Amino acid sequence: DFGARGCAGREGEAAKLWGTGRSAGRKREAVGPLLVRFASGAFNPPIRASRARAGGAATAVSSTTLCLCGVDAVRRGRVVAAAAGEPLRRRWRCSRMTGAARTARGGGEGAAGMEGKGAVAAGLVGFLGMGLDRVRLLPLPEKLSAKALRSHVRGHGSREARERWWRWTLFLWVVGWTLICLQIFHYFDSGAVEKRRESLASMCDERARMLQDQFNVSMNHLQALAILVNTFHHSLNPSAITQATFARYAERTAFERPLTSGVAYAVRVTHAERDQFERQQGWSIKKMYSSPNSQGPGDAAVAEIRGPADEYAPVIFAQDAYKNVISFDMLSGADDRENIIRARESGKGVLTAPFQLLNGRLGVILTYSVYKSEPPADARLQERVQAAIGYLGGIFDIEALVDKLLHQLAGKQSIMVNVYDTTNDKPISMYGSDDTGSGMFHNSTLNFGDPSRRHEMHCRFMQKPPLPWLAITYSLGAYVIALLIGHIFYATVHRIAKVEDDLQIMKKLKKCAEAADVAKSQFLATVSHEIRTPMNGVLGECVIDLTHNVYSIVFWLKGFKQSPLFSGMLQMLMDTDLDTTQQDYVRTAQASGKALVSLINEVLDQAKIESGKLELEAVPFDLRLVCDDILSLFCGKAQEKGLELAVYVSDQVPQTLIGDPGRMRQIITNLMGNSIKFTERGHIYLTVHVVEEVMSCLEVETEFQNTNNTYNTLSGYKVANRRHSWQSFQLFNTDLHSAEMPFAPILPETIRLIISVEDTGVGIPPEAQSRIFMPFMQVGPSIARIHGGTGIGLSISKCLVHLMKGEIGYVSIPNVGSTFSFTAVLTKARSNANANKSPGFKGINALVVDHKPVRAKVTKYHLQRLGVKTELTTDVNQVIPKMNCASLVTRLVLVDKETWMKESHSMPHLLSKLRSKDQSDPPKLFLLENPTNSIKSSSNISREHNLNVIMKPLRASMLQASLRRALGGVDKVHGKNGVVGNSALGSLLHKRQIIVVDDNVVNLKVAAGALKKYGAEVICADSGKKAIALLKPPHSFDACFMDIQMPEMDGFEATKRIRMMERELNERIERGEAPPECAKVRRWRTPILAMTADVIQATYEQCLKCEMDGYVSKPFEGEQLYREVTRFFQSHDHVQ
Amino acid sequence: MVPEMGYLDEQFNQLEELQDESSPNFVEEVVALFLKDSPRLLSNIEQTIGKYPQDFYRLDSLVHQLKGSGSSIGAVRMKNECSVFKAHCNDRNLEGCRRSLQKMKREHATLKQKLESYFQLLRQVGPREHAVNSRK
Repeated sequence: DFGARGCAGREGEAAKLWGTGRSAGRKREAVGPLLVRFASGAFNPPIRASRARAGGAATAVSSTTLCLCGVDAVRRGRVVAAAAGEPLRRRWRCSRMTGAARTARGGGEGAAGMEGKGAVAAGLVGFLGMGLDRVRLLPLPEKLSAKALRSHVRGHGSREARERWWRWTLFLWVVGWTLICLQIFHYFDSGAVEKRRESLASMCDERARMLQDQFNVSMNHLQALAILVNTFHHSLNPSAITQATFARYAERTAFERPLTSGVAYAVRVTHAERDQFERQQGWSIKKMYSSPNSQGPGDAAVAEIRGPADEYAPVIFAQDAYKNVISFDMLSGADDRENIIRARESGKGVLTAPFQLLNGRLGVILTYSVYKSEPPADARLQERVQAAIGYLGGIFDIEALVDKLLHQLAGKQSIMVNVYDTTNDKPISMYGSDDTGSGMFHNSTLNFGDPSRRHEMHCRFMQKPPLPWLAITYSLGAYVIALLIGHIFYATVHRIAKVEDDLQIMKKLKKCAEAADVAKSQFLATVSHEIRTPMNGVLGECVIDLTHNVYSIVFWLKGFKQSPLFSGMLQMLMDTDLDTTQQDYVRTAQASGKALVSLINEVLDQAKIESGKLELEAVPFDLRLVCDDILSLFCGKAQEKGLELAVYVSDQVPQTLIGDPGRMRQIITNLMGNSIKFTERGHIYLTVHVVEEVMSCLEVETEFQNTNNTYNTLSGYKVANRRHSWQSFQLFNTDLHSAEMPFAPILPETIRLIISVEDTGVGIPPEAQSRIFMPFMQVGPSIARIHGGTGIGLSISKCLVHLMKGEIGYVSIPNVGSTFSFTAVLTKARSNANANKSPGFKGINALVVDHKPVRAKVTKYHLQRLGVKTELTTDVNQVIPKMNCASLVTRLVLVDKETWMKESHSMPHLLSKLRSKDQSDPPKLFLLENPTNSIKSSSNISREHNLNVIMKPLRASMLQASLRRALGGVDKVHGKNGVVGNSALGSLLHKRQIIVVDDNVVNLKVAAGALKKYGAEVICADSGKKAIALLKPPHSFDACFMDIQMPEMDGFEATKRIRMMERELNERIERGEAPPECAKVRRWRTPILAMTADVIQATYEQCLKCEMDGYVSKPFEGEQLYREVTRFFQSHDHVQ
Repeated sequence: MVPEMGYLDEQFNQLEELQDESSPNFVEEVVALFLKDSPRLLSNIEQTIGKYPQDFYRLDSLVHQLKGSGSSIGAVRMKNECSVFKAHCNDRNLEGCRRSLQKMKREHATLKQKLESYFQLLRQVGPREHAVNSRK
């Protein structure tokens, strides 16, 4: 919105900004508390709005800053000022660049911290602004840069914000995916750990169970031993067991107790029995520990004697390895005593706490009590104690046990086992190294059959767990993918932003280009305007007021062109009595004026074409006449330069075409004009063919055969083959490929023409050929100096050709010539084929003598247009035979001047032969005169031989006049070359009775005057009704000119009624009831011509529909009137 | 020499060409006819414009007549203004028609004045000079 409002808007806005900036400073205290609230997390839209209004910078960053900036009011204030200042400064820059912020001076003494910069900027801006004011004549660039900057600034700001947003998104994305990947890692890792734990548990449990089993087996055997002792020691008297047998037995059954390193049996001895027992055994009961400090039972020999106690449990049997414990009282050791007591109380195996064995390893002692008689299961404690007679102890080597066990199992290396006695609070290690490594472990409870003791097995993996590679791979992979995706997105967005930037630049450039285009149009307008001023000076105040619009200039120039004053005034000046010098000046002035007009026309056409305002008309016209006119236009120039001009229109081209004759004329004139300009010798040859014809016949090719260094062209000079000029035409190229239906026209009623202009000029230099069709391009600056012209003729022609759905091309050989060709799509008019064959020459035969077939063809073409039957001969000697063999009398012989000169020796002979023939009407001889030949010699020849001379270029009208004069027609006076004289029209209209119908008296008078001028007898009628009354057949009128738009009854209606009356009469004639006045007439039809002010196609068709014979424009135009009158008088004659 | 610069076109010259011994005052007659006929048309147009509802069809045909006679004598500015008027009629633009009518009246007055003075001048210089005037 910044630049759009223009300078004033910008000023206002800047002022406002300053105001708010200052008020923001003042409001600091007011804003403070709000900010506190904002910072404390209460998200409050109104606050945000007010902040935005104050600062104008509601960016995320600044808001974050605001949140973080704490409670210090002063600091907050500064932040607000900064936030407000930033955009302000940015806008400052813009306004300085757009040169529109002189207001800065007003705002210079602004908010704190910015005065200095502001003042400097203001000064600068003021200066620039003044400077720009001075160059306001060129408003366009300023506007442009403002626009560009605005878009740039806007694009920049939003882009920055967007970029920030995207950066945040990327950051969040990365963080999010980091978390997700950690999650993935954790998931997979925990799975692995769980699995490991499970395997550890199962391994541990397995070990524990096996250990337990083995232990139980050993225990059972111990129990069995106890029963054995009971059976053979206590139950038999005398005992069957001695120390020796026991030891041997125990030794031999040791395999059954793989875990017990030794067994011993102690017997219960009461104090009363001690003496007897000691005597019986031969040793005294000894104390287990000599001193409280000593570990394990010492040597029996040195051990102290056991002090007196209630009872004793001396060992009587022991395995050999433990023979030294015999005689020791087990009850004297604290542990053993407790064990024994518990064993006899529970009746089961009882374990001690682990202790150091003799071999230095850890072990436990299992104690079984032996009862006199097996007590019942529910025996009381006392009964059990009473029944106990001895105690069997086995030493279990736990370490060996576990070692052996682990050896039996697989995977002992991977797992570390510890066995603990956990009866007490502090567990006692029974097996395994003491290192309590960290990491995963599993506890399995061991049950060794002693309910009062608890054991546990701790298992731990020996190795550290392997790194969880799978989890790492998965998570890393996902992470990498996510990062890549993020990068791709970010890069894409970045790229898009860049492309958008580029687009902005492109748009800017496009706008520049468009502006340049506008500037060009403006330039055109200005130039046209500038042209007007001097013209006014020269030509007087004769122009309509005009605006700066190109198109009004178009209208102005149209009017100007038509003004008689431009060409007329100078012409009139020339008609006055002037001396030679004055005449020369006037002529120069006239020529300059004409050049100027044509220049203006071209410029205007270009402007029109560029704006697409140019539209083609679609009116019926005769291309042959157009070509003739063009030839007439150039014949003066051609004569000056001694060039031969010729036109040939193929007879395949219909008489009447519908198209834009003016534009067609313009194109051909352009091409011809160019050719004339650049041709100093030779000829210019205009040909019109139907496209199909050109492609199907090879005649064109053969024209260029070289014979005796002269070419079969009009002037004998070499030309550029026109076939090449249309080589690039798409029409031919596409159609050549699809040979099926070559050149099928798009619609049956359309026709494609190919028109070529061939010259023998200097040609176009190859380096200039590429830019021939570009506007304002000329071959070189010198060309413009020599030949003049704007250089847009060809460009306009190209555009026009495109509008006619055609193509234009050329071929040019330096110093040989150029040939330009173009195609155009036109519509065939409804055929009135013989309508234009001029009267008076039917049934006349002509012989053309010309040694150049091309030229002869042109002559033939013109003669045939007049209805003259034409034969050609290239040989003078063939003239007489040809004339004789012709079926009809040859009344015309046309000899080309060049041929005459070539055969001059035989010509007089031929002449005399022709004339001596005793004929009442000898053939008329014509000399076809080329302006190249010197006038003198030809006039000599013609005078000498009494010849009629026809000046080339040939045109139908001129040829007709010449022939008519020679054949003794009415023409006595013939005007200048090519102009259809009033006499021709006069001859047609002379003494004709014509009725003119028009409601407008002025028009009536003028029309009547014009027709009277041509010798017609005119009756006027001022309404359709009067006309009907006058034209009621039979009557003596030859023709009727009828205005179309009349009150009461218009021309169409009147014509319809007249035709109705005529039909009635005709029917009566057919039935033979005709009144005597029209006895000679077979069919009655009065030619009725419409007079109309606006010649448009609809009217033309309506004319035909209402059975009118044609139309003439109002006011009368000599040529058109002649054409129409000729047509209908001829057809009228036919009817009669 | 010709006082009516820009007011007349080719057609006027053609009219002058039509003038010969058989009709020595042809141009003047035609012009007189025009000057007699056109005020009537103008007043008709003015009346029609004043009426309500507007009859654009009738207006158009009246202006057409005026245009026809205008172009017959080559009064190019009159003719152009008539075209503008007709365009306004087509658009049913009453305001435009009124403006055009005013312009037309002005044109007519100027033309009338110029033509009259021209013929006066012609009569003064006599027939010889006049003959030189014609184009061909």
